Amino acid sequence: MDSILQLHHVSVSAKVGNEKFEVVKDVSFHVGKGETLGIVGESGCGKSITAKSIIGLLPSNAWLSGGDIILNNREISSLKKRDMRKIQGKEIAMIFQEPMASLDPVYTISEQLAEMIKNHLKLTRSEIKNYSIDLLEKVGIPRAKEILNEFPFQLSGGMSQRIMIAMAMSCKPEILIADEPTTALDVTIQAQIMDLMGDLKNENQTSVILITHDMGIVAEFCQRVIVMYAGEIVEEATVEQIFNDPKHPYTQALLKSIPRIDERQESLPYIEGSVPSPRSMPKGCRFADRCPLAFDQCFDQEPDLISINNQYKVRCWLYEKSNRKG
Amino acid sequence: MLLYVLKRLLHSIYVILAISLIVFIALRLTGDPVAVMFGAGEPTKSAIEHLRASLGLDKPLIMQYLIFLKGIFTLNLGTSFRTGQPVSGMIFSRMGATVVLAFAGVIVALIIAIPVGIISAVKRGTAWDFLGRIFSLLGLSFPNFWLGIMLIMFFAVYLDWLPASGYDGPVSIILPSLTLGLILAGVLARLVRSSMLEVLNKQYITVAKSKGTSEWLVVLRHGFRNALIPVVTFLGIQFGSLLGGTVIIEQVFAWPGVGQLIINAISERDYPVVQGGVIILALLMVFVNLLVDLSYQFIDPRIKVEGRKA
Ligand SMILES: Nc1ncnc2c1ncn2[C@@H]1O[C@H](COP(=O)(O)OP(=O)(O)OP(=O)(O)O)[C@@H](O)[C@H]1O
Ligand code: SF4
Ligand SMILES: [Mg+2]
Repeated sequence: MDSILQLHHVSVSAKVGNEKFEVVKDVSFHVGKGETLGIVGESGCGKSITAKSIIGLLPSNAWLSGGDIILNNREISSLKKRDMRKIQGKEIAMIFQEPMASLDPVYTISEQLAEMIKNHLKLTRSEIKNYSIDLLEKVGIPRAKEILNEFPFQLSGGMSQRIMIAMAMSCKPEILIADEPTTALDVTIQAQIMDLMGDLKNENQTSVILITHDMGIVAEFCQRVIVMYAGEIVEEATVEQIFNDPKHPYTQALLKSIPRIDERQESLPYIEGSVPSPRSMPKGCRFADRCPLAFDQCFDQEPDLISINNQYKVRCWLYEKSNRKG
Repeated sequence: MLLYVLKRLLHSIYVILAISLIVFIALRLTGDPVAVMFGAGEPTKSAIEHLRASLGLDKPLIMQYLIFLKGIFTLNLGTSFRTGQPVSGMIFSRMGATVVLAFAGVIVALIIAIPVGIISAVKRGTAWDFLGRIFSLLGLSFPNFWLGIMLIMFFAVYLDWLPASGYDGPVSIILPSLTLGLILAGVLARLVRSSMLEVLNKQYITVAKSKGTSEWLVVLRHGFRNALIPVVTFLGIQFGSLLGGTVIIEQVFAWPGVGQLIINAISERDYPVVQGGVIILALLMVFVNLLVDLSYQFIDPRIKVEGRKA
């Protein structure tokens, strides 16, 4: 599969007060054309920060402290803001967890859609209007014409997220980053929104990076998965591999309480203990404190992300050659 | 909408009643006007009685108050104890100067506070922010009359660029409006900053950036536009104290407005002029508050629809 986006050893640091710390460390992965890549992991593992680093929207106190991001053979992480703006929305679009908070309360839906369209497409006013109506109809909004003139507070969460999807897809991006797009919605609406995203993605051959807490969604929509823990990738595999034979003890714990693959769940299963803070990372394996299989080496030295085979990577001493039995 | 305006007007009547009672009582606590009206000589008892009767001060207090109230609603505020002129005329001829000064002050404040507040918020934690915050602090801690005097000393006395006081053509408004505006700008800049900081953290700001909109456009179009809502509220609430500031500034700059008229009238215990002046300023405040309230629907769509329903 042609890869359209690649991250090479991306690290992100942040500064709070006078303290600097690394929140994402040495993350590498790629996304193929038309592929959906899932990113899972507990809260605070660095999923959103990784996503924001790709689209150039890191918070003002955070910055890319290492690595390259390559989109269609072009290094984009060192682009000037001005050049990056041509990519934001056009080549990479993003939708967020809180649809209601994603829309500016003082502008109508049409104004907010038009802002995106005007930035990237050369259309006249009336063309923009017609296109906006088309877009809303496509994402299943009834009374599209009227809704365009409404304000966000007049819409439900599900409607808002449909509009955000319409907006994100309006300039036919090559990559859509969806950061927990359904977490804030009712369960019944979650399924509709995911199906809508799936349809649009297939229609436009968009590649999707799907951040989620929901293993059921991963099973249904993703081809490959990255598991993040404490700012690092701990496992990367195809969906089949992950569900059939998860390697990393953290992934195993994540999957343990899911009785069936296709079952949706509200949040990740509970794993005892908590993710270490980026300000005080342990020196060995970052999961060692909570790992039922931890042994001496785990507390001393951090394992590398090692390739088990072509598509499979895991960061755990259990899989280091010297430790493998047989 | 209309219902809302009517409700607000009804509410204003309570405010005016309360203010009228307070001025009325406070004035009568300052002493007898007749005592200050005779100069050096020792007046005869009958002369005093005569004067009291002619000023209406012989009537019972409650009657005096009712006459004052009636005057408010008929806009006939009596005649000055001093000059015998109708009070309404005296006030209205000076009203323009006060309103112009107050609004000039607000405009100066906005012109300064908005950029300072926005830059402080966007460049949070940098030298710009530091300067902006120092400015706010100064605005908050300087007494306005003192700033007025400093400005007079520098621009009028030392540089001799601008008139020091009185009304001497349009340039005369520069120093008093600058004084009023600078003080208000201090508070306002701080408010714009904090309101911007809050708004800039919202998700829709990130979303706007994710569309490829330039940073400054996002700051203004989405940031400031939303931060404006609390700023307008604040201006509405502060208009009363702005008028209070105007009264003092008029005194410092001998600005021929209602404030100066009231202060002179207080020292002369010219009851009708003080009462009338205060009531007119109160009415002005009520009117501006109403305007601000009505302007919300233009800056916050969430309010417009509620208004439509009502
Ligand atoms: N602006 C910031 N300044 C400092 N630390 C930050 C900042 N943003 C995020 N972090 C830290 O970086 C880490 C990763 O945060 P991130 O938002 O990427 O987590 P996440 O995996 O998306 O979690 P969630 O599932 O809760 O969305 C967290 O420890 C968080 O506290
Ligand atoms: S390296 Fe050790 S502690 Fe870390 S996940 Fe593997 S077994 Fe557990
Ligand atoms: Mg997140």
